[in-house]
Amino acid sequence: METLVKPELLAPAGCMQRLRTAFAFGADAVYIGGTKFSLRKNADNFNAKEMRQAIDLAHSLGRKVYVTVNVYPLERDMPELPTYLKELDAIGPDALIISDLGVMRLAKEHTSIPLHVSTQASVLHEHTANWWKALGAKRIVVGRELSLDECQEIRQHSDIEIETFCHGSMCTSHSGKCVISNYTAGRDSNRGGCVQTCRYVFDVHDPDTDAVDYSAPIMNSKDLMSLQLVESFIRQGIDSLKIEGRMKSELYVATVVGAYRRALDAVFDQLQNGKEASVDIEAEMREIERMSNRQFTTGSLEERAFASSINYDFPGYQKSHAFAGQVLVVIPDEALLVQVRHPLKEGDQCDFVTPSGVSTEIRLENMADVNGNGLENMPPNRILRLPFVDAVSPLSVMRLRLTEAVCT
Amino acid sequence: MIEFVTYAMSEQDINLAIDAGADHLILEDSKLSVRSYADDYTVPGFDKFVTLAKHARSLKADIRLSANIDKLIHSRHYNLLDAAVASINQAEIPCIRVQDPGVAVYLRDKFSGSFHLATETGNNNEAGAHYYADNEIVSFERQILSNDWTAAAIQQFKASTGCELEFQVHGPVLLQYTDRRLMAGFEVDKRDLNGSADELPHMRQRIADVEGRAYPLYDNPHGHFMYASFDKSLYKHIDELKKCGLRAWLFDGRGESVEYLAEALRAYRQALTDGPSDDTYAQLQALARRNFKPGFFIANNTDYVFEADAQDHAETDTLAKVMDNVKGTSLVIQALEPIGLGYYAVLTPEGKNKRMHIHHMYDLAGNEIESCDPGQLAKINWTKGVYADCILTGKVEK
Ligand code: SF4
Repeated sequence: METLVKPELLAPAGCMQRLRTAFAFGADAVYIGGTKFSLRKNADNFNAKEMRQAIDLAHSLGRKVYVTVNVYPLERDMPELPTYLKELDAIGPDALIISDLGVMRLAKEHTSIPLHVSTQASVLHEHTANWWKALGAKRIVVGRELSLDECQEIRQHSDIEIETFCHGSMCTSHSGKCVISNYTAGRDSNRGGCVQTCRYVFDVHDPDTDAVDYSAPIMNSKDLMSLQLVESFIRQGIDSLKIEGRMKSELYVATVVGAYRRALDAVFDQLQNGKEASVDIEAEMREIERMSNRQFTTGSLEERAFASSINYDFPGYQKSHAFAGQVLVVIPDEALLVQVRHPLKEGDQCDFVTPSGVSTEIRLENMADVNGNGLENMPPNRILRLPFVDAVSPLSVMRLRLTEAVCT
Repeated sequence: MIEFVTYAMSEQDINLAIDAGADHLILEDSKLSVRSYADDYTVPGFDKFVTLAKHARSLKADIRLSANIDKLIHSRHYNLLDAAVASINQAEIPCIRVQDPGVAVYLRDKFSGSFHLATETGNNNEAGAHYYADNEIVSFERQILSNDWTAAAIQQFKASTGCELEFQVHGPVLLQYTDRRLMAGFEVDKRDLNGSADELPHMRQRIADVEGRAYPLYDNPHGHFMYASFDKSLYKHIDELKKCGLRAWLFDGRGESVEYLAEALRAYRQALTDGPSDDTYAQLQALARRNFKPGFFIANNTDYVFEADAQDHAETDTLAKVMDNVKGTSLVIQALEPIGLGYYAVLTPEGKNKRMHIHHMYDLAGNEIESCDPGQLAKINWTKGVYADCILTGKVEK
């Protein structure tokens, strides 16, 4: 029987709460950004103290934390970099994710932290992979243009860990090769400032007549989903499956991490131990589809992405459920305390999704504030007290069922 | 001497470029040159390199030549690389321009010339440029700096290095590219076009109107390309440009008329000795399809304001975060550090500084406690002006 290795499940953590959520729902590792040199400036990100706490928590659970230093810094940014890298070295994450060769040179000089090469570096074949390996990289995050078969070719010819994106929003461009924001908004996409101009509707003109030929969001990539390819990921020896979304909510992290965790565990068990698969992949996909999305594609994982990977008719984000809140505290047999993220009212239909994947439906009643004073409506950013629900544990996420599926 | 570099895909291009004063021609075959407007996709082999090199040398014996292989290749393209390098060697072209360092790694045993690193690699800082130049695996003789560099930064860089540098001084600016054929995809999705992304021919350039500005779009079998709404022109800044100590100036006229490219080469050549002239600038502008701008050459202020915000966060010491506010009654905090009773400095989300006194603390089951551990929640007495998302930043004296 072939020896298979279960890929690491790597989740985004834009803040401490999402980091806790990712681990609770089954991530083996998370990637986080510091306050500098990271590509998601709008995520909350972690300062030095928060990073230390995140790493302590991860290591206490036997999990890992990777820190992104994946910008392409301009020369004016460089003087600060050695100090920042030394600070990271003292904090001790499990890897740094880098894109730029200058950053790599300084990271090798000032830290002993393992280096992962970001998808921004567009590694698409074994010769580029081997080049990074020879320079000292431990892992490459392959370009999103790569198919699974091509990943396997790299695996056969390179002694380097391979990480691939399995889920999330996708840059339409070759990662790291788009500067639209720099020229349209004064924000540098390769230094964390992308404003996603690619999602706009473009009027496409005929240059000879100047007539508008069509209007469409022609660069609007659908989101990546590859839950149905988990068996291939395992068979092809991918070391790590990465979920995109440091800016996304706790609901997103919980739902996506939970679904891939269950799929990976069940399919691996089936392949390795011949057990019957105990996961319904299609049902898991439907759960993911309930959250805000731009429709889904497998990108280039199966074949070169083309027309079906772009949402030319984008009517808005689609969802049937909204992120209602997250359980902070469970007082056994008495109450749940939920941090609210969406306006709620008595009678709303909600469900809780627990870290173990159990979903429990409830109708909101007996709502109260944290002091037990009854109320009929609750705005976001407050703590709601609800009657105890069996099986619901801390960090469970609460979804609000929308009366009809909406586009936003 | 500053080398004037430009692209050439045909004998006509070569004739005009050499006549206009080009010193270095980057020869293109569209099978491996991603932004080429040549249509060689169905022409087998790369004999074109041999023919074009011979033609160029017949016009100017000492013309410098490169071959462009700036495609981000996949393993399925190795056979194309093999065929291309055989012709490049036969044509005795001494230099290959790549974007993917792995292409140079693949070719280094098959080609004894030098490699130049294209601008799309993101050559944005000195440390990176040096590492490419002194690379232990494959070194790059020349690097074409990204368009993000300012004059001041290049001048400072050049003063401290022996790296051979090239910079685009004139022509359309590439903003984005993808291997997804976005316009062909639209035609396939919405109209009656059929075929795969690899098979469909390149499409005529279109213009995208985004918030009133016109951006050229191009779609070919390699993917989709979007260009800036202006053409980069450093003609008026030629004195600053001369101070940059660049080995080569790149003129990119691909997709534009050959007359426009030739006029640009002539204008800059003359300005090198005579300085820029308003009349020449106006003539050049008249041949262009877009207005001229210097891009980021004079200043690059992208993201300064956001860097300041990040700095604030880096320096803010968060002891706890306020999670809930029941007006007049209670607050709930989540601790990041152990929190006890006492006085605290508070920062509001709007950046205002407050102070608060915690004189009572309970766990969320209602039991009175005296301190709260990291990660735990505690209910505390209410304080006016403190609300959800405020943070406790430090303990203060009474
Ligand atoms: S604008 Fe779109 S394609 Fe460009 S970097 Fe941002 S997300 Fe990617």
